[in-house]
Amino acid sequence: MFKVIERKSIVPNLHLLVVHAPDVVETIQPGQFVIIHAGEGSERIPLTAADWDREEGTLSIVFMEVGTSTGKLAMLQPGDEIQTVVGPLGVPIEIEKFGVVVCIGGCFGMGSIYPVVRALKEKGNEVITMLEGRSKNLLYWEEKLSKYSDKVIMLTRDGSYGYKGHVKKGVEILREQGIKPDRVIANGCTTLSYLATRDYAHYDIPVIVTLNTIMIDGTGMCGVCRCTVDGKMKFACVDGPSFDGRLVDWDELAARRKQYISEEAFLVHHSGCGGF
Amino acid sequence: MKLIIDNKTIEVNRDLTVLEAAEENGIYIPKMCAHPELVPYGGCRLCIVEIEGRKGYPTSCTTIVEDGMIVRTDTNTLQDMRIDLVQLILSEHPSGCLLCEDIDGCSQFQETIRKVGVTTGCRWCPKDKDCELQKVVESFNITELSLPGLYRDLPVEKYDPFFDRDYNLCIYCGRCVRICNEYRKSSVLSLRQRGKHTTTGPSFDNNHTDAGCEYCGACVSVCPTGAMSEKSRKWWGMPDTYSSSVCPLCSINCEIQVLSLHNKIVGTIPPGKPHETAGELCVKGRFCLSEIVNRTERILEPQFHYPEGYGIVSWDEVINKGGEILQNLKPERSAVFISPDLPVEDYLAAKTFSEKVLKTDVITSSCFDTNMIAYTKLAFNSVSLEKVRKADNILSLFLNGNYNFAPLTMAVKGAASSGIPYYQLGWIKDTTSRFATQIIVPEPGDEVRILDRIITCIESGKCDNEMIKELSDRLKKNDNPVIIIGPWVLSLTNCTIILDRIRKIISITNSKLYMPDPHGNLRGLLSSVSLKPVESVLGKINKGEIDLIYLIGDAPFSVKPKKVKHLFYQSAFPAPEDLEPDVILPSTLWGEGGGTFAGENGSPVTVKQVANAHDYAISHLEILTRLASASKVKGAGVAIKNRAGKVPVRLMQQIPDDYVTASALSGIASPGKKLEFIMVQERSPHMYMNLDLGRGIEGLGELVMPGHVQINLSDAKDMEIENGDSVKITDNEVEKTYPVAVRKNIPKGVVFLTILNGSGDYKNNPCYVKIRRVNV
Repeated sequence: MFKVIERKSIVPNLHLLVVHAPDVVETIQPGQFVIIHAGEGSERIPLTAADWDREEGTLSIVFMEVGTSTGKLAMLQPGDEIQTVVGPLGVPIEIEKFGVVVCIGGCFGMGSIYPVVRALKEKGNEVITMLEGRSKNLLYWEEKLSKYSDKVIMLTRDGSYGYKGHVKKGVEILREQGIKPDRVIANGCTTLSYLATRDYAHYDIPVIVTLNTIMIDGTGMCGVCRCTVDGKMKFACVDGPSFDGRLVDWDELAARRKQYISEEAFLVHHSGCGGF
Repeated sequence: MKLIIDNKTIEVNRDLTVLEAAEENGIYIPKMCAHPELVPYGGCRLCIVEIEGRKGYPTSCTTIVEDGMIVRTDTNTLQDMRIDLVQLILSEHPSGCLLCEDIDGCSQFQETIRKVGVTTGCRWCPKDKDCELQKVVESFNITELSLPGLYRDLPVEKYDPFFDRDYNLCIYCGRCVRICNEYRKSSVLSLRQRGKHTTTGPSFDNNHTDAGCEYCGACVSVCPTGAMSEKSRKWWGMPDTYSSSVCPLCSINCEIQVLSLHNKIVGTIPPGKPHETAGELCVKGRFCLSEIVNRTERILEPQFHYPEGYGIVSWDEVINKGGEILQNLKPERSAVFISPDLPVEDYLAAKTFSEKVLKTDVITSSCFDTNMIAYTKLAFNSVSLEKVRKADNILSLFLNGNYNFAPLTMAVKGAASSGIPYYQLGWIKDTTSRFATQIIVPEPGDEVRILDRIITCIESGKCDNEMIKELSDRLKKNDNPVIIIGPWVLSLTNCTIILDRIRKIISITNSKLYMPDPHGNLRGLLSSVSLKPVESVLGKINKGEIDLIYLIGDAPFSVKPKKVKHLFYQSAFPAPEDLEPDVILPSTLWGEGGGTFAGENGSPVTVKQVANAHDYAISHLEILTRLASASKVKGAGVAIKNRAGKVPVRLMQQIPDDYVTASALSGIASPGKKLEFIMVQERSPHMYMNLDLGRGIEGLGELVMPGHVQINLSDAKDMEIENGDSVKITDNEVEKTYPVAVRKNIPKGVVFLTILNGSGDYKNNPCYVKIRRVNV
């Protein structure tokens, strides 16, 4: 059993979960994820690590409340126990000295991009971090990320904070400031990953995205997280979750993600989980 | 009179508001708080106009048209002011999505993560594309927010059954509060707090149930934004089909509108334009129907009971095996039990099937006992709801209208709030009680004695009780007094005697009767089949005179009777666990097939098929036809099809005169020794086929608490009892233990229990009881 150190709502829908998992954090690298089992009978939920403390043995995760099992996680209190935290899983994201790296975080990705930003900076890259949210009240960790970023650019869809716009606006800002990126890394929902790929395409540089496919075991056995990258069949759990967005078959990804939508919606109402 | 709106001359012959006159003539004026079923409010101010000769910018929803008026709705000044108003609304409403250029791409990828705990933008909102604010914003082409955003960060309220509230999305149009008070007259919702802390909801931070909410869903229907959303339909998105239908859950058979998506029922709303009609539905018609149809506990495939256990078989196989059993039947040794919620076609089929294949006329329904027979016979005199609306005095007896009969309770509330005296006799405070001139909570036995005193008073004018005298005078002298009898009377020991007294009162006064019946189509059943009283059929079964029992959507017992050789079970819902039928046949449900219901005055009402049948289910009619053909009785299958195709143009109910025996009318039950509490039981009025909705629908269960003893809040405090505690209840003969539900709508000194069927555990209902808390 894994003890919950902290669980709080950081912005509407997004929760920070700090859990004591010393064996997991001992070897975890940026871009890797863990699978959490909220309780008996719960789904297994893959969540990317947002921070860790090897001395304390704690792992931080930012997750979004989006269904039955994440609803259960959102009700955890310090001192509660989680049945399973399996990890680290997946291939660590490639960290080298690339030059200028644009790191885009949206939604839960503002959390999971943090270890990536930190590692890139430590490797001596020039890191430009862009955080994107629909409104000011949905942004978080700006200060934490600015410690390892040469520049932090905030984007809101309604213009309530920073610049008004989405991923494309970020590209415009870079052009205005005369910055040419050597690599883009985007963490967040599928839309954000797709838009980053689309809007940075003309630079002809790798756009590394973290795919959130439906996943079950996380070890390459079940094949549910199958996706097509560069025309080849890949499993997001063991071959990813980070891929070059330019090579991803986005239509297939979107279709596969919707596969269980009616079952998911049905369960949200019928699981008897605090009104979910 | 004539007026000019935007240079268009308009002729109006009624006292319309300027907004209504404009809308009737196809002129668009933006609005948020105005609603066709509500008194003009002038809250959102979006509908401001300019009227020549008037100062300022009057709201068109509160301005009545005048002859010669010249109105402009679309000037630059007005548009600028409206945009400022919308900006004010948007500053407090999560609206990032409205301004996002990537909104279309978002729809493709976001579908699975829409069902978030808290709505933070349109694409993640349960009302996306069904939102009036979205439409207004689109009409103004707003692309920038001119004011800083303020997210209220209120917790989303999800603890009540059926609908959730996210007041972070509320725009204070007050429609929910007004529809609850003005239209439904429930007075559950109000605006709470002031300024930016304002929210809507029950006062004193009560939950909705304790505040007396009936869960009619009117507030959810009229809410223009995602602030209120239906739990069960929240994440399905917009329905693709809206079809009109009729609710099968009680005899009022309300007209409803079924929402479906990919041939699957996702919800039911009142007829008319969504958002614009609040309707007269009760919680069952509004929220439970789709949950009934989409229940996971349905029979999925036909099953046959082999010596070694149940096996799932194909329809062909089950029909063949069933047909073999039916081939070797002796005449008049079979009995059919049928649900009172099915269409007439199924009844005609069952009748022909019984005659030709089973060769029996023993057809009954488990609801059709002596009390029900007496009730139905008296209900032949029932008048239409219109008469209740126009009554000049109303007496309701044993009406428990909290989650039931909403058009009736609305008629009562409407009449009573216009000053008509309303007397209520019963043991529970329902939604009408707030309007009662007098509430009479009778002691056990008094329910008959009070009626006797009324009769004496009417006949001789003598009475020592002021209230009874007044009521009797009104029943006698008024032109249109109405007496309402709720089906709760069916559970009372003195039921037939009470009904006999009412018959007497009707015969000596001007009073009209209104008697709602909790079954969807008992009228249709009684007009198609000559039902036998259920007691006599059960008697035959006990005496061993019946070899085969055929259950059609009915489950009168939970264990197969000993002397019965064969049991056919045909229903959409699983059989009681120990019933052990030989054959299990999955049938369709309302909405998955069409059919005819008998309307209030016997005229047929057609119900359309609006959804695909569930898995392998087929209709009762189809099952019976196929079995008849397999039984090798010549022409039986064809006869059933033909008979079911000929629904009469008038569906007149028939019950033979000798069904209510003299013995049922003698001897008022003795109330016994007076003890500290009155225990009253009610047979669940929420049955659909053999499913008790209180047990089958989680949300309704939270409201009606089946199997729980409901007790008044202050009684519970005195006895230090809390929700969920156990109590022992005894009438000095029988002692039983029940869990407790503490409820504000139970009068002091009364405990209330919903029972599934039969007459309950105690000898009399109501009776005096003692209560003791069980120490844990």
